[in-house]
Amino acid sequence: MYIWLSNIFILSLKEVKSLLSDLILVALMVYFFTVAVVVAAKGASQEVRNAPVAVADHDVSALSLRLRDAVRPPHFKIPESVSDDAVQRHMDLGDYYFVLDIPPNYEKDYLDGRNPRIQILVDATAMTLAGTGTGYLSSVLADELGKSATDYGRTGQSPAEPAVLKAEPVINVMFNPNSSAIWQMGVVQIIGNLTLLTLMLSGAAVIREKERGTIEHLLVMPVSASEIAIAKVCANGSVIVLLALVSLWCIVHTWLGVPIEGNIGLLVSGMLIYVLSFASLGIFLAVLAPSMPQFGLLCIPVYMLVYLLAGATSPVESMPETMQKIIQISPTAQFVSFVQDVVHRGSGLEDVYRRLLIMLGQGLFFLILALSRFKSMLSRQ
Amino acid sequence: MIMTAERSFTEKEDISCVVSVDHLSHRYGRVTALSDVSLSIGRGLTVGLVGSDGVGKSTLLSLIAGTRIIQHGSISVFGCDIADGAARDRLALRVAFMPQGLGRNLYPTLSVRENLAFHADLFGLSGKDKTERILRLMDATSLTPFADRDAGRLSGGMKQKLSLCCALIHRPDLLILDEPTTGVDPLSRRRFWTLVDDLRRESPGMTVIVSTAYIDEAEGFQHTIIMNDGTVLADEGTRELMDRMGAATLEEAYMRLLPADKRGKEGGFNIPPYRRDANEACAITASGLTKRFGDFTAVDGVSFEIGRGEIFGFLGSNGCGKSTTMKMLTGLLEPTAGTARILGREFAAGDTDIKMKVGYMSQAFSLYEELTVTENLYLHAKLYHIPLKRRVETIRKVLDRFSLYHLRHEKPASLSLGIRQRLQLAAACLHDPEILILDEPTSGVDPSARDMFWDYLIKLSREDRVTIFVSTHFMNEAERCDRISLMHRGRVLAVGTPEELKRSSGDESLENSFIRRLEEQEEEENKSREQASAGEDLSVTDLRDNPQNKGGTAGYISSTGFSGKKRTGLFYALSMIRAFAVREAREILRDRIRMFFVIFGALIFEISASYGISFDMTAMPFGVIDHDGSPESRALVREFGGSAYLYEKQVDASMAPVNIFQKEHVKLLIDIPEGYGSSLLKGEKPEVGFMIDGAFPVVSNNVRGYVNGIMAKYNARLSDIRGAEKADAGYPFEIRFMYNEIFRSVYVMVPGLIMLAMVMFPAMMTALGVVREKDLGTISNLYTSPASVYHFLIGKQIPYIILSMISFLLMTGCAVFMLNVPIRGSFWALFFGAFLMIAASSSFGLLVSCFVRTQVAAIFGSAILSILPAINFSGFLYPLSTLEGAAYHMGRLFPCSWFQIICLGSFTKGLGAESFLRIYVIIGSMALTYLLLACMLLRKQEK
Repeated sequence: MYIWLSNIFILSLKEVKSLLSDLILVALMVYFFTVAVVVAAKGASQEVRNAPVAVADHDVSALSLRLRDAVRPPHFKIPESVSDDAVQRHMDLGDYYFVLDIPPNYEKDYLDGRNPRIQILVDATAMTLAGTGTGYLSSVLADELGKSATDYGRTGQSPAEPAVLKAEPVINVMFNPNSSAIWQMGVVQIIGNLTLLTLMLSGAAVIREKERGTIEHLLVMPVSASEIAIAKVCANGSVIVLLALVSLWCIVHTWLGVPIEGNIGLLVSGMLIYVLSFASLGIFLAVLAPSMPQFGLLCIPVYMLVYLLAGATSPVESMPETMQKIIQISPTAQFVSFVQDVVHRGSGLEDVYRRLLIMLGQGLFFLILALSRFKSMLSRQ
Repeated sequence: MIMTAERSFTEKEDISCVVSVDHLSHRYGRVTALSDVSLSIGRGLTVGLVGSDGVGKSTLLSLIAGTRIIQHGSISVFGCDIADGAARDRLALRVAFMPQGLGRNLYPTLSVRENLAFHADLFGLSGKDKTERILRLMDATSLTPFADRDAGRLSGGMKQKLSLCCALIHRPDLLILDEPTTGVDPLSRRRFWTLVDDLRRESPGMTVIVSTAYIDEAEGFQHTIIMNDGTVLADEGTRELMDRMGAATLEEAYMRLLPADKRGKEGGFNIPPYRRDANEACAITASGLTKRFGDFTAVDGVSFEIGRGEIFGFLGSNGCGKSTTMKMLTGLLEPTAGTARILGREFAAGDTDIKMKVGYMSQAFSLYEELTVTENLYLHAKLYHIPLKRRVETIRKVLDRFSLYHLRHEKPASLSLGIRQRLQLAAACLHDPEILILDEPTSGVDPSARDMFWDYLIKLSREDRVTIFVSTHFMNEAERCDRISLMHRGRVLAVGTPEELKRSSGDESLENSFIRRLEEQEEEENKSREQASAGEDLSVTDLRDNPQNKGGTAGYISSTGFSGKKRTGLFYALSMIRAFAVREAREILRDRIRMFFVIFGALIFEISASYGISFDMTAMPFGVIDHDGSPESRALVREFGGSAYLYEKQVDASMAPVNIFQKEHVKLLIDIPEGYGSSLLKGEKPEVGFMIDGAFPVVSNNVRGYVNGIMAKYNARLSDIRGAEKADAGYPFEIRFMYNEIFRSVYVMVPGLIMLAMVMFPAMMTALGVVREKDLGTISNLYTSPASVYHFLIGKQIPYIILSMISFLLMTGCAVFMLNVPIRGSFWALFFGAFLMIAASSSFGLLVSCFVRTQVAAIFGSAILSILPAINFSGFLYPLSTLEGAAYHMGRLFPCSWFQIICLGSFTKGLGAESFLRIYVIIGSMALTYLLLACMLLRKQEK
């Protein structure tokens, strides 16, 4: 047992050395955990921000101009005027996601109490924006209409406020009061990068050794296949976890100002378990795909599926129910829930220990699968 | 000569001098490979280049061939300055270079014929000329029966012959061979030189420069250059040199020229006779060892016994099963039948005791390229558990013994073949094993180092009683063994002491005895094969009967003149591109696994992701903490429970809200204060608390919207001033969802997934294109050919574009027919856009490939660099115009976001090509930019 551990340690050191000797690779890793995280977190937004709006104003009255002025940054870009025939073209190319079509004589009809309607055209291909954006836009416009109604002395038509029964909702968003996308994206980005790096590095390390024949050489020495595989998992895993932690703390927490609610020790151990289990999956894939080009092609769909379906970029709750069940097989789905619980909701060990155990089990499963095919991989010619 | 007459472009050609090297120096980091070398080589000579490992032979040859960038000094070949790129391209037609290493210019997954066809295409041969030339070369080298065998499955000798054929395909005037016979068995070696001699007779004007580790081979050449430490020691006629030094053989002359410390063992070996102790168990026993790979039997019932302390030699042609037998003895391979016993024990999995006692050295270099010499040795020392105290001393000793001390901080990549072999040997002997299994340990190692090494082996065997099992192609080494075993085609032909073997076949030298046995064996096999399949090998007999080939090699160099095709213009460029494209396509077609991944990987990805990724509104769980419990509070809860978007989940109201979120995973928690009901009825407008889980902003924004909506309705019902209908009539907006009226994600997701696949897969495939050829060594074909870098890159790209287009069509078909996402716009607009996108992403892959140094970095770089713009900044998840800062620009600068517009446009928005004209131009110019950058990064020479 002692020898087993010491061999793993020796091989892990060697692995780290090889990893760090490829400078371009190191540069890519650093880019991935710094620039990429910041750009993605600050850039992408799930809230309504800078949404491009155009106005086809057929009225050109004081009221229509007022409504137009109400649409303002930061939620919306300053509306641009478009002519009727250009509306379709601009929306086709995604230049505007919202177009307000204000009918002729709008102000007059409005003051006469005929309840004219403004048409809002919404580009429904922008899924994350269309729904909430429409809500924002109509409430902004409704507010403005309400205000102008008072100004124009059209009190009768505004929502009446006699002393009636009414409850006052007080909405409180927990864990992320401003629904800031940076909070979520920063963390999600790190999870995604962690996943891709772990998968590719551990798998590629096996294939490189196989293609160069060094793995054969190791197996002649008093070293077992399990030691080689575990050393790869440990070495690549710990380098990646270290990078991820530095990135999480310095970039996401300190620079981007995302609070980390939960216990940092718990987070680190969860991250370690996840990386170990995912690295085992990487090694398993490498054992399946005999050459580097094949491995690369196998990795891409695996990574994209696992990442996109993990509930990191789109909510798990929106998936069909069977899919929600199936995706629990993926360690990434477990880890995303784990991180959301710990980082955002501040959960403790007693809430998340099940996920940790599941991830551990998955890792062992992949590792055993990989080891069982390790020798047969070498004897293939 | 016909050829020279045709090649009238040669400027001021000096008839007598083919190559002239002037004050040439070359360094690799701190190591000097060449220092101030000047020499000249006359036309039509055969020149042998001799020297020990790492003296700069390979460097000199690759510089002359123009595949390496000159650092200092100058070289002119056929009167053209080799530093000039245009001159190099013209010279490529007259010079052939065969790099070091078995079959380094061959593609292992292509057949013999395909390899030859590719080289012929590279030099612009076509039609009848090409087929005739290929047939003749194959016939001359007797490769014809193996025309359809993969190059990777040829034996070493056959690989070398094929390599030579590939080098000769364009009838060169100067042939440069870098250690062509290293690692080749004596029979194949003899045949190889016969072949070269024949060729020379056919075209006496051809100059041949050969570097070799076998000095006896160099004796046959007219001229000899001896190098040491990057300088030239002798440069004169072979005869003259031997006369001048007063030596009977060139080897002797060579030894005398060298400084004393490099001379190795003089006066031969004194080997104490081996005495076997009858009572002692055998060190290695093999009985009936058999190994089959599929229907191919590599080793067939091999049995032998090796006594303790014996040196047992293993001889045989390349590919006869020596390495496989050795691998079975080390436990790397499981025998199909039979047993192998090491030190009296059968190998069991995980038997580390035996492993501790065995040292193994494999044929190919198998230490870590990225670790230095010392680091590699330390790794071995640690893994063999050499105690810390002895480690430093042991390694120091080994470094000294194998003269590696001055190189201890170098990485193996910068060392020559021979020195790398020495390092491997050092590693194998490091832990003082009881048994050494050495697979061709000395191939590529120079004579003095070999002698030193054998001296050490003999000492180990006789003094420390270490058992040594060694395979070799050197007959003088075989003579030093106590016993040798001759192997052929998986079977042992003979075992005995060298003397016994010589006696039994009646030959004077072991080499002749060996060759005679092999030839006899082959004849027998041929006879039986011809009998067995008299009619089967029609193609072979056909060729033999062909009158043109009757004369064997006669006239096959000069019979057909060089086809005088124009070497410039569009046609030429297209034919070059076609050559590379055809080769790449053949390789892909052979690689079924890769095709499967590209096509089905993409489909599986599309189906499961479109099923799983969704922003559709589904019901979310909410919890209630009701401190009031009045009918009014229950009515409020009912209002929420009645919503299609929410459902109630029972929660433990005594817990703190934070804990409820943590445990129950509700998205919304309604907190109704005490006295809510009564306060409401009094018209006091009581507050109701709503807590939303904000961990996922998309969800929390939606939930907030639900709460506002439901509360508005609830209040309206309470106040009952306007009926719901009337309120609706007063709603001042009419909202129209365009393109996706029922607001279903799948219509948006599926086009996006197609975009993702077309960004990622082509880039991933081409990313390995260049760097993998560098790894395998086949990039030298580009270096030595007249083709330019852009022929190479575009040719490489074409098959991947076609494969990706097929994948695109399948994905689109799947979207339309399986996932019911119709193409509302123009299919052809989408098709053309996909073509441009694939061109762009595959060019991007090539760009990455030209930039990085390792395959790992290549797949990694292409994935990392393209995944972020593809998933986050393309408009796939978040609309592009809502991105900010760097993200927005990254989105705009990569083609993904533009292609996303085309995908969404033609699938969902019903647009045609006329809407995308500007976007086509943008994506197209991005593709061109990537490709141009890649062309600029890839040099046609090595550093």
